[in-house]
Amino acid sequence: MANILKKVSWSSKDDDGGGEVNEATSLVGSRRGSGASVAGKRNSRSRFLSSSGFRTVDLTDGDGISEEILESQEVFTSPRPKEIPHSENLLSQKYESLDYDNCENQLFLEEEHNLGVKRVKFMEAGRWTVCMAIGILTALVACVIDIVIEQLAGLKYKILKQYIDTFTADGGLSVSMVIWAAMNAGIVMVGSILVAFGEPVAAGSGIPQIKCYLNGVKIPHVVRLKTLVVKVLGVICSVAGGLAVGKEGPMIHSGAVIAAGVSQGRSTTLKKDFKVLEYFRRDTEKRDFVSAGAAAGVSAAFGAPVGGVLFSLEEGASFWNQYLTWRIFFASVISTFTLNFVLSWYHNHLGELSYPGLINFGAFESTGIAYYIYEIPLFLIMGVFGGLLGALFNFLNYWLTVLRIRYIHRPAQQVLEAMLVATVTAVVSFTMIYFSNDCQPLGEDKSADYTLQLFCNDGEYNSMATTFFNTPEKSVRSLFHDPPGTYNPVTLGLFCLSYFLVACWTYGLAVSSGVFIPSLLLGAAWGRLFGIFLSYMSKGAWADPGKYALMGAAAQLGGIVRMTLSLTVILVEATGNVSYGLPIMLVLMMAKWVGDFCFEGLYDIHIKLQSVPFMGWEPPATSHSLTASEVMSHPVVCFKRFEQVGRIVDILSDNTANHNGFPVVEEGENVVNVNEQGDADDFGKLRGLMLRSQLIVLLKHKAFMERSDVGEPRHRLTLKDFRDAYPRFPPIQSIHVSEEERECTVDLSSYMNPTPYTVPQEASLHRIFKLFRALGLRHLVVCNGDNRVIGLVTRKDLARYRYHKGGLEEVPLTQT
Amino acid sequence: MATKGRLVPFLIPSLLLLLLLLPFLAFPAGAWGPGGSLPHAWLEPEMRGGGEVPLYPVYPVDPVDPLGPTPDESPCAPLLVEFARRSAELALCSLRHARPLRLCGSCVIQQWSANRTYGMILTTVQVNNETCERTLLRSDRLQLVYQQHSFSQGLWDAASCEACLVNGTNGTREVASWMISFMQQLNKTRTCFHENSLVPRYDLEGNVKHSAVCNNCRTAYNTLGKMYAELQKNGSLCIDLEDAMNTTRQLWSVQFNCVEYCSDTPSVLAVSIFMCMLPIFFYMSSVIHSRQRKRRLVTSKRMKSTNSSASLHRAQAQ
Repeated sequence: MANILKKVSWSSKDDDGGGEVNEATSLVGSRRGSGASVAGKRNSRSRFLSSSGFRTVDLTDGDGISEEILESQEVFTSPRPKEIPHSENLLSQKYESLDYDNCENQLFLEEEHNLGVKRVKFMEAGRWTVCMAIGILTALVACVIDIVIEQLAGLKYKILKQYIDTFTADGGLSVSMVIWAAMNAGIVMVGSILVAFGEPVAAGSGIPQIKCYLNGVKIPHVVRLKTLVVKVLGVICSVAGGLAVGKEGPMIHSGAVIAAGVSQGRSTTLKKDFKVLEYFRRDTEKRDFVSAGAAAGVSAAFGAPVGGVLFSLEEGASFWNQYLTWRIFFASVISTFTLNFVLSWYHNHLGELSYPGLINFGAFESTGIAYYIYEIPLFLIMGVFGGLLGALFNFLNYWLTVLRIRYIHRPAQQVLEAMLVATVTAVVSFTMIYFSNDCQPLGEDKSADYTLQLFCNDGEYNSMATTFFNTPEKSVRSLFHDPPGTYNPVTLGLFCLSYFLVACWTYGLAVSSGVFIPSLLLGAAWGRLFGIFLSYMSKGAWADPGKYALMGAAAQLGGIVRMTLSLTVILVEATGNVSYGLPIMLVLMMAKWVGDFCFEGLYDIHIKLQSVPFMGWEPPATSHSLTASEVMSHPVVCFKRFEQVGRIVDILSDNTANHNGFPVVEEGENVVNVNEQGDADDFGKLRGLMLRSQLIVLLKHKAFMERSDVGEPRHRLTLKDFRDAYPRFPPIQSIHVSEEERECTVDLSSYMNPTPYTVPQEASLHRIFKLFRALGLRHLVVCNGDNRVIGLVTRKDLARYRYHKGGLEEVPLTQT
Repeated sequence: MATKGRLVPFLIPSLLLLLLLLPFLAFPAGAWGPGGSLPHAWLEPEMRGGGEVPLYPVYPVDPVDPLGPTPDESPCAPLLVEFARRSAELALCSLRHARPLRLCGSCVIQQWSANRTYGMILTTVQVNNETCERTLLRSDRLQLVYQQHSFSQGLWDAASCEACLVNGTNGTREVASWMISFMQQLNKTRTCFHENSLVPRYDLEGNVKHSAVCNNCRTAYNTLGKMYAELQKNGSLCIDLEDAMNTTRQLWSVQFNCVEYCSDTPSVLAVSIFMCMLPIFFYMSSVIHSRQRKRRLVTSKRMKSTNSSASLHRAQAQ
């Protein structure tokens, strides 16, 4: 009986999984001892419905099974696990849900009884204080990022300008191009090494990860201190290294991490415990604070507090909770206020909080630029165009990301790729500056600090260089506010094309990057081009291209990220003018509709490509036809109220089935009803629900019943013991249980959740989905008419249903 | 005051009218009718010599004027006349030096004296404890005196003239040394241009070549540029210097075509093409040599009765 555990080859030539099988994924949690999973060389005869991913497994043993089959207690054959190349239609098993639902066990009820009302009010005040702290810290981090990027980029451009000026006069401009490429590659290499080798979850903008977290999925490492450090340093390196990225997305992620950290009152990484805020060490509170942190991040990035609140609510909350909304708004406003204060000091206008330089995109004065009703159709056309262009961007980026996931998965390769992108960005920028003949005299406002003369006359400067040598925010600002005639249409057109390709290529690299500012810049460029075209056609009647730049920016951003409400408010606040609210909203709606018709939004694509079991706002269409019995997992591993330690340890140590929630059933005879095929029909009368984390804490503290018999006081755990172990519960392998302890029993009744949510087995998928999503559940027990446990519904069971092209389809589950 | 020579025939009535008109200069708008146009004589620009402004009092004077019937009782009237004269002098000087723009260097005295007069208007107090400021500046909606001062001061500030001035003797302002030296260098450069471009040379195609200018005047021009950059860094630039530098640069670049640069197009193209090829090689080698990362599927545990499974479409994994 071969017990071969062979590594599956990762060769791409092996396309139908014909390699040797290693771990047999047994269908039932094996009741064997811990550790060795039964494996073997098998000639299984699973039938596959199609050569692609999904298949129903023939559970009965067909004929022809050789005698290699091991112990007869193994009832089912194990199929050969199929291997397929990565695609977007997969869900990964490694993602768990957050425990948003409160476990109202006996300990909790006792604590609430002991604490009383005064403590509850104290806790409420504590929440407000934490929100204020979140706002202040997020703003400070955003200021640090802002200021360091400005200084570093300024230094780089100063050095480059010196070289280019000398080389212009003396010859050898190609050397300056090489120098530029080398500087870019060097800075980006540092950032990329930090991300690829240090903390891969810090790659990208962080918004998809935060979206998933607020949806209720526990993304590993997403809110750790290490992630924050890597993210901040990474974004500084990316922007200073000249990549086509923005710094706004990483600020949102940083805000979320700060919120998760501050609300716990301790740092596991730094091993410091401040012994306060212990009450908030629960997933419920943490997720609420992370919403506040994300909102504070948005408001620090754009100066848009209301936009931040709406972003958080649009992405995160399952339902509108008034107190939570108020606290989130408080955190956002504090964040904007702190940021304004610090930046006003940095710009030497200390205390002048209404200094216009703090508004990100420059204020559009109401008297300056008006729009008329006959321009609304033009704006709508721009919206359509933005949607189409955004869909194209997403499509190209999708294929690029699939390529990256399939073939470029080693960290060294990722770093090399990032360096190459930085190099090519420098080369493209340089050649565009080199071949551009557009010379402009420098304007009075001196919004561009670093200018290149290159081949222009004395006193004039290369306007393409002005665009490339600035941080993207300044370029967006110039595009919005510069007087007509500043930009040459050919320059703008070439810039649009090259920037589109470079930005599409850049997003998805193993660097911290945001996609807001590149899309705004791209949209502002083609919007301005459109405005110039209009004023040319109308012989000067439509003379202001700045307003079209704003609409183009909104259209492009809406076409790429497909956010509606929050984006409108963010743009209105960032430009300081409410009059533009109507056109911006129309443009965004148009872009979203057209874009959704063609392709999905960028963040949704990346979430799908990461195989996250994300649950949308609404259940998929036609989901009323499925019932709970098809959706649920069956059979279910249950515990009795007085359970043997040995059984608990065995079940928790089982590698093949990574369960986290176990229904607790009543003991007695005929616990498990067996139907005619020998399968368990139900598993006993439901009494409660136990989580793996709770069981581990019990085992760790050895809260066994036998101990109390010998005269020791009953070792009763308190909630504090559970909270101390949160959030990084030790794995079962680190808990040592001796042989005699395995014979002890544990009383689960005071620790279990005595009132878990249940659904009857006829409940439709639609209903289960809504219940699950609205309450933020992790496990939902399916019972029959006698309140006996039949199955368990988890997030992966629900998220695998997607509505696609005429029918409901199931997405297969993968191991990693 | 009016020159007696021209006014002899009108002497006595004009003197009387003058005495009566003086209050009107302080309260002009109320007594005059709407759309009242000034007599032709008022508008004649009799600017002679020192730019004296003739005053033709032609309107009846308001009898209840607080300024009083005699000029001796109010110190504001002469101040007003003084201010009018100084402002006119300043306007004359500025417009005379509008192109080429030498406002700051040439009109210092005029600006200073106009300001001084205005300052005196602000501080003088009349007998009845009312200030001249209130009488002259804030008595009507139009506020001519204030607007005039505002306008000329605004022009002065926009030209950043104060950056090129230092305090002189007796509380006056005078032109700074760096401006003088810059102007000297400018003169030198311009002279060099002029001398070297007198004899045009022609190249093979018959175009005018200014290589003499480029060669001989390069040092002077570069020195000028360095001085300008230095001043720009210090922030001591006024519009005179800016304009001078701009026109010189225009001459140098556009007219004489002397800007030197070495364009390196072939090598730039070659290096850029090489660098753009690198990612293509990288991706091709990754696809060919890297083992594709595959995902291993996991069976879910489901209940066996799947009657409605036929209604589901199976996902086609790619």
